[in-house]
Amino acid sequence: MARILILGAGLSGHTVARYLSRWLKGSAHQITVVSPKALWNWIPSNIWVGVGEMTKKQVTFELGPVYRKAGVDFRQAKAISVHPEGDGELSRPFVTIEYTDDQRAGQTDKIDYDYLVNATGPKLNFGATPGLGPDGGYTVSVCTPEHAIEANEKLQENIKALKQGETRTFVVGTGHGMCTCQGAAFEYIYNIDHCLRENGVRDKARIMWISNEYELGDFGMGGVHIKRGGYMTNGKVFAESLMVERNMEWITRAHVSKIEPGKIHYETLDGTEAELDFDFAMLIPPFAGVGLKAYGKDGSDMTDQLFAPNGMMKVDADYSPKPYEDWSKADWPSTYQNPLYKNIFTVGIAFAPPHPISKVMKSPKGTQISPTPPRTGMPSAAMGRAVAASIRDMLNGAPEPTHRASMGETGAACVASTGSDILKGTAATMTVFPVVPDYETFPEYGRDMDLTFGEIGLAGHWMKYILHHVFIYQAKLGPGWHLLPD
Amino acid sequence: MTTESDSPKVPVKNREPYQQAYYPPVPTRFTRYFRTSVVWQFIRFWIINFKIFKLLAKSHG
Ligand SMILES: Cc1cc2nc3c(=O)[nH]c(=O)nc-3n(C[C@H](O)[C@H](O)[C@H](O)COP(=O)(O)OP(=O)(O)OC[C@H]3O[C@@H](n4cnc5c(N)ncnc54)[C@H](O)[C@@H]3O)c2cc1C
Repeated sequence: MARILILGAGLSGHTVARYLSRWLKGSAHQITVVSPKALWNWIPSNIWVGVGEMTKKQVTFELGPVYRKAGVDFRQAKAISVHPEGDGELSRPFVTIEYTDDQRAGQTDKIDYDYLVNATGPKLNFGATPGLGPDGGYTVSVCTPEHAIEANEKLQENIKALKQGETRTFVVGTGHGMCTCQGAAFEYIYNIDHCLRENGVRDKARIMWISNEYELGDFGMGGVHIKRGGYMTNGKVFAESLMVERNMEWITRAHVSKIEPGKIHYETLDGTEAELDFDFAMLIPPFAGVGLKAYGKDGSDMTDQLFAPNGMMKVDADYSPKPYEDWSKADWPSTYQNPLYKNIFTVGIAFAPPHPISKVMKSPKGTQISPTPPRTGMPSAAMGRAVAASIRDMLNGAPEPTHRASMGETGAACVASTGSDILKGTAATMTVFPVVPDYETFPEYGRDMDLTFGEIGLAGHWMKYILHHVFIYQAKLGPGWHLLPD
Repeated sequence: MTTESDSPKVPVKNREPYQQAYYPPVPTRFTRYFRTSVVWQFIRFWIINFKIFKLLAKSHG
C-alpha cells in the first residue's frame, strides 16, 4: 500500500486527485488531499461574481462530500513544511500540516507519504506593493470569491454615484511590474465596461488599463501572432482594437510602485514616474509560492534546495541563467518531478518556471517591468493529468515518470468574457499552441498558426457559459466526468 | 452589445491625431453585426469547438 499526498485542491491538485482516485479505485493505495478551504472554486467565473452576474454559491461547491464519494481522505488544512527524509521521530517522508476547519483550527499533524504532489498554487502577494489589495489596501481583487464579492459591492457604489451624475475613473490591470495573469484583469475590464453600459452610465466613466506588458496582448507569453483579415497580425492589434472600440485608454510598461487612497503611483520602462487618479481599481497582485519550508532529517533548513527564491518548487527544468536569445522550450519541465527527490512532483502555478516567456525588461532604475510566466487552466490541468498518470505507472513498477506535459508542447485556450448575455454577449476566444514558443518547429512565429487564433463573438460567450457548467460538473465527479475535456 | 458608437456623445471636437486610439483597427458595423448574429455565431461555435478540441488532442498527445 502506498500513500499519495496532494497539497492543494485547486485546478491542478484536484485534477491529480480526480484521476488518481479513478485509476487507483479498488487498490490498497491511499490518496490524501490537504487544502485549507472547504470549497472548490471555479476561479474563471469569479469575474462574473465581480460584476454581480453570479453568486459565490454558483462558482463553488463543498469538497468534503465529493472526496468522500471518491474514497479520498480530505484534510482541511494548510501544509507548512516538507520533510522528504523524515525526522528523528518518523523515518518516512512527511508533511507538517495545520488544520483550518472549525473543529481543529490551529492543530498540527504530520502526514507521511510515498508520493507527494505539490499543487498549492500562488500566494497572492499583495504585500509586494504598498497599498495594493483589499486587505488593508485601496484596490480590489477578483482572485477569490470573497474578493470578487467585495469588488462588486464597490463597483455598485460607483455605479450609484454615476447614476447621480458624478464622473468616475475605473482602473484595471496589474499591481506590480512582475505580475502574471493579465488575462483575468483583461476579462474584468470588459465586464466593467459592459456593466456600465447596461446601467446607461458608460459616458460618465473613464476606463483605464494599466499593465506591466511591453505591449497590450502580451499576456506574459511574449505576445502572440494570429491570422486576421488576410494578414498575420500581432495580438497587440487585436487587444488594442478591443480597447479602442470600447473607448478605453491604456498604460503599458508600467510597474505600480505604491497606491494611496485614490492615487496610483507608477514607474514606466523609460524611467518616467507618474500618478494616476482612480475611484475604483482592480489590480492583480504578483504571485509567489505559498511559503512552504523544507527540512532535512536532522532538522536543518533545506528550503533553498527544494524551492526557488520566489517560493515555487523546483522541478525537472533547466534553471541555469541564459540570455533571452538562448531560451528554448527544452528549458521547460515536462515530468514535473523534483530533481532531488524523485517521489515529489509539482504542478500548476506552484512549480518554479526556468525563466519568463516574455523578454525581461528593466527600467533605468533597474526595476523589472515585464510579466512572469502564466500557468493558466488548460496547462495546469494537463500537468495534473500527466503527473497522475506517471504516479499510477510508477506504483505499478515504472522506474520513472511515464507522461509529459511541457508548456513547450501543450497549448492554452482562454475564453475572456467581454459581456455576459445569451443573445447580445460576446467573448474573446484566444488559443496558443504551444504556450512556450518553439522556434525549432515553428521558425516564423514560434507557434502553430493553425492552432493559434483569436476571435470575438457571441459563440465565445456561449462557450464560456457552457464551460462554467461543464468544469463544475467534472470537478464534482458527475457520472462520466472523465469523458469530458480537461 | 452596445458599443462606443451607440453611446451618448460629448460635444464634437476635432480629435487629436496620433493619439493611442488613432492607430488600432476599429470594427465596422458589418463586423460588429456578425459578432452577435445568432446564425453566424452558431456556425462559429462549432468551428471554434472543433479547433479547441484539436488543440486539446495535441496537448494531451
Ligand atoms: C480571476 C481569475 C480568472 C482566471 N480566468 C482564467 C481563465 O479564464 N482561463 C484559464 O485558463 N485560467 C484562468 N485563470 C488562471 C487559473 O485560475 C489558474 O491557472 C489555475 O487556478 C492554477 O491552478 P493551480 O492548481 O496551480 O492553483 P489554484 O487553482 O489556485 O489552487 C491552489 C490550491 O492550493 C491551496 N493551497 C494554498 N496554500 C496551501 C497550503 N499551504 N497547503 C495546501 N494547500 C494550499 C489553495 O487553497 C488552492 O486550493 C484565472 C485566474 C484568476 C485569478
